[in-house]
Amino acid sequence: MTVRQNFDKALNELEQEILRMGSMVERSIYDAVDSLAKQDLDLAQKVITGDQEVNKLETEIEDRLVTLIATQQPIARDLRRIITGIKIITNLERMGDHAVDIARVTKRLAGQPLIKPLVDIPRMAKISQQMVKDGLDAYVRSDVDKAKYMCSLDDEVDHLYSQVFRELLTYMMEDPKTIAQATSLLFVARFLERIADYATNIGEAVIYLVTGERYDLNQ
Amino acid sequence: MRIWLGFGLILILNGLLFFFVKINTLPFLAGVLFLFLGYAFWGISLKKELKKLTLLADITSNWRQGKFTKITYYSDDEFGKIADNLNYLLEQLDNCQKSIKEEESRITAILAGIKAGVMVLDREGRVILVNKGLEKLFGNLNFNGEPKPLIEVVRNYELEKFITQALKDLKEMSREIEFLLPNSKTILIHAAPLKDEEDQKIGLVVVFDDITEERKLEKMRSEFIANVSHELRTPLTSIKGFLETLLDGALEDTTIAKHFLQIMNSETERLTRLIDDLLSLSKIESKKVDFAPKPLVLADLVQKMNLLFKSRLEEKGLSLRINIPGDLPMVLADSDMISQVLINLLDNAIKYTPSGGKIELLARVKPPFVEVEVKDTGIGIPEESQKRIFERFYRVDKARSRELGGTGLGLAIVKHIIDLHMGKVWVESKVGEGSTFGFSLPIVQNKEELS
Repeated sequence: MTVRQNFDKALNELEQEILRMGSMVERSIYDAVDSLAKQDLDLAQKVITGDQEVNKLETEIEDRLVTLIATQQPIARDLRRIITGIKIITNLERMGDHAVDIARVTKRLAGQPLIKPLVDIPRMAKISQQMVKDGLDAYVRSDVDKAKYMCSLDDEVDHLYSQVFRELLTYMMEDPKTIAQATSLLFVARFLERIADYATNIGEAVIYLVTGERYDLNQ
Repeated sequence: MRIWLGFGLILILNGLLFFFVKINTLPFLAGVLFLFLGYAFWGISLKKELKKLTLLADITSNWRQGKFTKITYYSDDEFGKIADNLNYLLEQLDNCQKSIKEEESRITAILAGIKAGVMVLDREGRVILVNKGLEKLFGNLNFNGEPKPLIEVVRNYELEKFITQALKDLKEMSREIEFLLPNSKTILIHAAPLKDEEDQKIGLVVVFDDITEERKLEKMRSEFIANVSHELRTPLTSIKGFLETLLDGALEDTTIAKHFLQIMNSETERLTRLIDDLLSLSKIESKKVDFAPKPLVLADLVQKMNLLFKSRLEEKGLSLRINIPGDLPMVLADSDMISQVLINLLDNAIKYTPSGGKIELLARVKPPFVEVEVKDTGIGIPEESQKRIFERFYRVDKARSRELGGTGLGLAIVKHIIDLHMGKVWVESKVGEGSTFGFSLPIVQNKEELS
């Protein structure tokens, strides 16, 4: 096998590892929100323990990508592929951390009845998850249009976030006893909003990978 | 042509003979001339033969490019034979290709006909084939026929882990995996090794079976059983408790004893109601009930309802407005069952509407159905509960419903009865403003049904 073929093979394998990591993070976001809605402590614990595997995978992929740069000195598109990969795993890792944060909220709220049924938060979660999925789909297909489409979804998440914020604020003003729980829920909304932002970062990285141009999705 | 050459050679020999014996150059020259002539003729005919070869070469190169045209050359010589043989081979090849294509389209048709998702992987774990069912299951698959690593086609690490294991062990394996987006689905995955003719394992066939509904039904069933036992136990516990207290001496005090007996009586009534409801529900569900729909004038039935509920309405200070057009066509329905439906709906409306509220019963024609609606100005139903309100034992507020004497089965019975009539049920509601429950019944279509 030539040097070139070796390089391609190694990079393709790493890109598959990235998708694997993406799939894990998709799962933990889903489980984290699910654990909150169903107040399922076991599921929350699963998310928290599962994140260690995500982190391990991230450092492993990063090391291998850095080794590729050091040993092969790639240029142009090859280099872009590696840089995009590093960006994507960094963003995925942060999303995973936020999933853990949400799972921790589930544990903190254990046994307390929710001050209100969750409506907007699951809606936010659904869109954020869709964005993560779209981002990774755009990556695996090199689909610039899909990456750009995510922009509109992020606006929706931001809009829902401010809605949740306003609503929880009224609860807290009405009854100070709700402050502890409302703050936790507010954080959950914030985490979801951040996850959506990281997803747009992935979209931007995909556009950079395909076109070599910068594109600001998160305006 | 060879004759010419031979003739020329003989003449040359002849000439040489003359040259040595008697000097005469004429035959020699003639011989040389014939030799040249013969050579020229030979050359021409050789070129002709070569042309046939070029023709063959051209046609066979066309074959290489996939343009299969027959060689149109017929003669008795060797070229004719070669052309004939090649034509035969071509025919054979054509037949082979046709049967392969037929086989292929048969396989594609079979795969497309299977509702379950099917995926074929090679030994390296790359996807080489998917069917329509799989595309339907996952929406848009990232696969266009080119072999591709599994994780790029379906991004799910649990699935990948399972497939990697199945590829390693190369034996039949099954597992249930939950897929997340766009909608969460429970899928039973079955992997079986793919063998070639020599029994060598060359890949994996994976079948994806969507069992979301089954799992949901199972869950509903177990929830139902849990609900029934709970509902039955609650009144029983209370009856038993009061009985024990009575036996322990409360019987002596007639006022307390009477009070306890009254509670026990109402709890027993609740139990009876619950069991009656359960029985009628199971009767309708198992279709054991004698269902004989007859033409029915709804207005008559509604008048009966008005009388039935009159005292309760007055008691609670509610007004009931009936709005049934005089020319409403007859519906095909079972009178007793529809009475039950109207009783359940009106009973709910009265229960959940505060004093001074309004209830309206209206009907309208929407061919081929008559739609009936019961509107109230009651407490309303939150949006997230509306979807589940027709489920057995589903209650928006359990404590409140029980307090009002509900069994949690009324609307489930309504739905089952209307389903039996091929009609539809629906609910529209806004919290604090009121609810509208509606159902539809088929209009009597032909005259025979009237008689």
